[in-house]
Amino acid sequence: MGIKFKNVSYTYQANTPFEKKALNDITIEVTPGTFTAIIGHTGSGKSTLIQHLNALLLPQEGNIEIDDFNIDNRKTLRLKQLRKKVGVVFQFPEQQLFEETVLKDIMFGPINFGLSKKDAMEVAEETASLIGLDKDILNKSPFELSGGQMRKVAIAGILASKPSILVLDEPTAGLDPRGKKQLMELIRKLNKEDGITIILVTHNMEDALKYADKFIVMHEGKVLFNGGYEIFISEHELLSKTNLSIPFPLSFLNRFEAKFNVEVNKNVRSLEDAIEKITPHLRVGEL
Amino acid sequence: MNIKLQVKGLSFKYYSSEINTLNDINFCVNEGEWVCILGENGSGKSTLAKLINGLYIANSGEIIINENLVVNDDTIWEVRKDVGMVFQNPDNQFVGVTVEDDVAFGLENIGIPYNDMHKIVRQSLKHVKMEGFEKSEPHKLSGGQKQRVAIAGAIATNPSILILDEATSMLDPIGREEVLNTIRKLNKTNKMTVISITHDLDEAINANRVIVLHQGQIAFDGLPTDLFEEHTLLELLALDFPQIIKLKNLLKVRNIKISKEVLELEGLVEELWELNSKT
Repeated sequence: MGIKFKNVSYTYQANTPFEKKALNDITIEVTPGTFTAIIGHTGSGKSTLIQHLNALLLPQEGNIEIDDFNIDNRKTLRLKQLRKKVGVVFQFPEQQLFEETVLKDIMFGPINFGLSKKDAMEVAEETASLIGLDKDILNKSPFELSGGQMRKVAIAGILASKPSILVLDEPTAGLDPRGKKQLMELIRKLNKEDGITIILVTHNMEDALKYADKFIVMHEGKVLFNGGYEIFISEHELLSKTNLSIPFPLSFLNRFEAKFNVEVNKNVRSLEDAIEKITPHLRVGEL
Repeated sequence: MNIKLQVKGLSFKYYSSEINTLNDINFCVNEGEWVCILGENGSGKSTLAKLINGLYIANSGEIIINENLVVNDDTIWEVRKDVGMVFQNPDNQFVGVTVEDDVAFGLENIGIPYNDMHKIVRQSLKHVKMEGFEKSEPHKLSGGQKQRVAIAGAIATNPSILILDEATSMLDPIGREEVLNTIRKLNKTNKMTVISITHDLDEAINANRVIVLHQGQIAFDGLPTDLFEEHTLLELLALDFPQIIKLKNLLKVRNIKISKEVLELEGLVEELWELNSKT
């Protein structure tokens, strides 16, 4: 069960001068119920990777198993069922809003997957409240909303189909700091309380460190390293060899170690944690 | 010092809206300044940017470029020679079939000779590290690559004012730093004035000045280091602290005070070490 990529490769515009190998022999596994961050620099293959998860792209080589679905280059897939299981929130998802009202927009998915109008409405209302959208905006046009609210509506539209795997591509890009924090907390809640498997594509290294428990680091179409939190901490210096930055709390501890010539325990997820780890090495300051 | 931009009593209302999106906005920007405009989604930031380069025309008040050029329907083409703009979503601004066509588009519009165009296009793409992509189709690039090409297109015409509307939001951290450094160079050497609309607080802390919009009005206009000392205001404005300030605040709680002007990690750790040695 879960997601298994086996030797997956994908090349754009193969056999032309523009040929670009976006994925090169990818083998990874995502276990159900985990929160995985996919990290990689611009053009490293992250977006190509997630487009395979709901078969928008089919692997040219290798295959992908998602629970009892097998995705390979033969078009024999039960697409509709797969896309009900795997909800994908693409970059700037609010651009895909189109209905007259917020409620109708959220209902679109469930109706498409065969729910009656009445049931779809119920599910939509439930999802809206789950995601923290006020009841009074449900009958507004989605286009009257702020960027952060539109983003939430778009995500509610995906969640309403009750996917067991939720994939989000840079979901906080363009949101204000408060909107960012709220959305990340919501994603955490969907994972911890509702058991939804989360796959988060992000450039925000601090968010990845804070929220994820599995990490897949992509570099030039390949997996640079992947694994749990401990592996991420022990391998994090590899990040600077790619175009990625080291999460700020770790970067701070690295500099602290070098300057103070001590070894610091780096099992931290935030700056608050980092401060605790350096305290034993400080004479200055008090609690 | 030359005043590049004056915004006077500016108000703007969308047709569909009952209230003003911008309400009596006043500020000036000097040549060579780097101003970050912050504010929550829906606070009017993007609307302001679109007014400055003449995409929208204000209901009242005026915008003056270079002390004498008033932005209105008759002057927008002249305004846009001076004011370059990069939008949040580059898909909305690509016109060329290939990357080089796209970057050349603005040059063609202002009548740069064909022979010079190639050189400028190459140079601009080099600035954003997109050399080698000249013949690529813009829509086939990744989100971050698209933003780089859009920035190349905007700097190609060498505008004296560059407006960035969340223009680096899709770039990875190092890529964002690279692109910002390129623009910083143009800001220093060509005195290009930069107005950057952003949610990136780590960028804002390095700006000369920040303006925060809140519900269509200016809630703060001053030094970034001063803004991040206004804790209650930050809460009201839906803002957070940049990482470095967060770290300094955490140290402060432990009675370790790092100087106000220290804004990067290296200096902070250095000072922490000195303080510790003295104890």
